[in-house]
Amino acid sequence: MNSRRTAFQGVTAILQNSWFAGFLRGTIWRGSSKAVCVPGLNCYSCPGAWGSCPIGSLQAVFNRTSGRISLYVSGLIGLFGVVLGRLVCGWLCPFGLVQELLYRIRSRKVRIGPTRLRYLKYAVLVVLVVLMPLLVRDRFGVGDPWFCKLICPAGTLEAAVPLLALNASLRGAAGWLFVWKASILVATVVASVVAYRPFCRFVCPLGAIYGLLNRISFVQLTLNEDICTHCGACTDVCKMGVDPSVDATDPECIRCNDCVAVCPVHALSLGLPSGQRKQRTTTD
Amino acid sequence: MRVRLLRVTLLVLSIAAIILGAMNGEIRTVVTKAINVCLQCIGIG
Repeated sequence: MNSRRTAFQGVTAILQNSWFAGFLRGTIWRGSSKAVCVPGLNCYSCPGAWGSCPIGSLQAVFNRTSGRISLYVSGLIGLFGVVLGRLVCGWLCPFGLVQELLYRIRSRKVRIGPTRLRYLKYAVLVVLVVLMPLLVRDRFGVGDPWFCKLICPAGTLEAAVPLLALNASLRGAAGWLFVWKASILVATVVASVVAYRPFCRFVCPLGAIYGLLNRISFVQLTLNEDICTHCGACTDVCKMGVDPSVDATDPECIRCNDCVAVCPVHALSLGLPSGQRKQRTTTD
Repeated sequence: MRVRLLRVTLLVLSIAAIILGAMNGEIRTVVTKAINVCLQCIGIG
């Protein structure tokens, strides 16, 4: 585990959720900073959150504008993705950090290699984030943020748990939907103890978008083929099931830097591609 | 070269989308949603 990265994740998670008064009062921040979406999955109803969740905001604009996709939010997601790719997942996402910390709990671990289950997150993106908010509406023409409502364990952990614990009126309104979402959170927590970042790998719609942009993002994991010995050390250390010596731009790669650190011949590097070395990251 | 062009094009499109979306008043929708407790997110909506 890269402790420097963990420290960075911790600092960014705290900075994104540092309106501490909210945790004492059981309320949320209502300032104008919520006009800006944060890059990772961080619920805007977390009592400490200063910014907005990009996936929640995307659905909110869908719901209020009779099915028009939000240029503002999709532009922000595109900007984060084209600059950083899934580096956001590895370094800036608070819910990614939560899963990594759970994985540190001593237990029997299940190593999951490349699997077709990874395509599930694209289905979640299309069905729950785009199609259902677009097509399923009440008699007033208002839709729901279906991913947030039915799935998102980050919202349950960061918003529901503290708000319901601190706010009696909200607690009294909790019903079957809360039980369903709490069950998903418990399943995610248990799965995260035994497997590395299961939510990011198989469910997260934001990770799906950033994964698609991994191949063209400015920040790249690059392989110097001239010195790579194909020893397999990078593949062995990768907990996301990626083989960087075959495809350093794999959509599953979260740019955690573990493979860079373990490479005995320093064939891998993370950053802006120099364009000088023979690389397998891009076709340009 | 193709990827580099795609990368820059997407960057420009993203920035243009942010500006156009802001001009369309989408920021108000985002703020309105975000400053109120999202009942769906906490499982009671």
